[in-house]
Amino acid sequence: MDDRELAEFERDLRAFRPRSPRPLPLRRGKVVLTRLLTMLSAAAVALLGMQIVKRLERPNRPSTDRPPSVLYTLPDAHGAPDVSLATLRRAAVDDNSLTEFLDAAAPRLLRAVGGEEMRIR
Amino acid sequence: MGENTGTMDQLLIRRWYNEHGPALLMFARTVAGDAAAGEDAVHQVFLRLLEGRVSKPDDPRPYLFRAVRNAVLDATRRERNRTDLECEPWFEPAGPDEDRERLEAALEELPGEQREVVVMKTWGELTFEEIASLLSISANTAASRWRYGVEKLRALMARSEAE
Repeated sequence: MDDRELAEFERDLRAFRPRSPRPLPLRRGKVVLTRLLTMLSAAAVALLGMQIVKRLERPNRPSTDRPPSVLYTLPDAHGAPDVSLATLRRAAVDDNSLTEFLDAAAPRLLRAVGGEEMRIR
Repeated sequence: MGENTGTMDQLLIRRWYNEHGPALLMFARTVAGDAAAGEDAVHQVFLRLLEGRVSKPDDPRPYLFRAVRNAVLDATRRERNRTDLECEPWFEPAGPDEDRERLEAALEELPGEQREVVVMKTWGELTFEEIASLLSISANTAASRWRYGVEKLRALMARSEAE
């Protein structure tokens, strides 16, 4: 068989398409849950850190009497915020509203999974 | 790696799966001698990539063939007593069934070392240099194996047609 015949025969062989493998057996639920927990953990750690810093900065003043020094925001790319500005301010100044803030922010964090990282500034 | 980068990587890996999956499955089956074991190896390689357990290669085709071959050989060492259930077709059901069955029978008759080179070159579209690197042989040896393999394949198919 010369080179031309070889090349022609190979072309004929390529006309037979190999069977595709079955879809990958992905455990999507587990992956999404792991990501969500990671995001929530990171958010909680960051918020607690900011609370500690705030407390160290102003140790002797009642927290409700002072204006917020820190504002927490979530990514703009996910549309209008679900968390009201008032909630954000309370979370910024009041240790007790941290749980409330996390509860209110949960739907946005869920959407942020697989998208942008949550920004805190 | 950022979240967006991760998503882009996943899309790219899924594209590789669609693009190279059929040839990789054929190759894995050639090395494993068993369609189910071959498919398991292909899945294993892509799941590792998707889960970020290995870094994304710059040149996917040679990497994927090498990774699939290693996965098959590892699995073969672990499961020596696995039963070969050769009931899956090699090719998609297009064209006359007799031609496809003749080719499948001829492929199974080829010596293993020729069959894996033929599959890598013809359906995997690897170069002889890439095949040589993967099998730790020279490019000339890879080319010879391919030539002998293809000639034998044609002879076997012609003989089968004449019978």
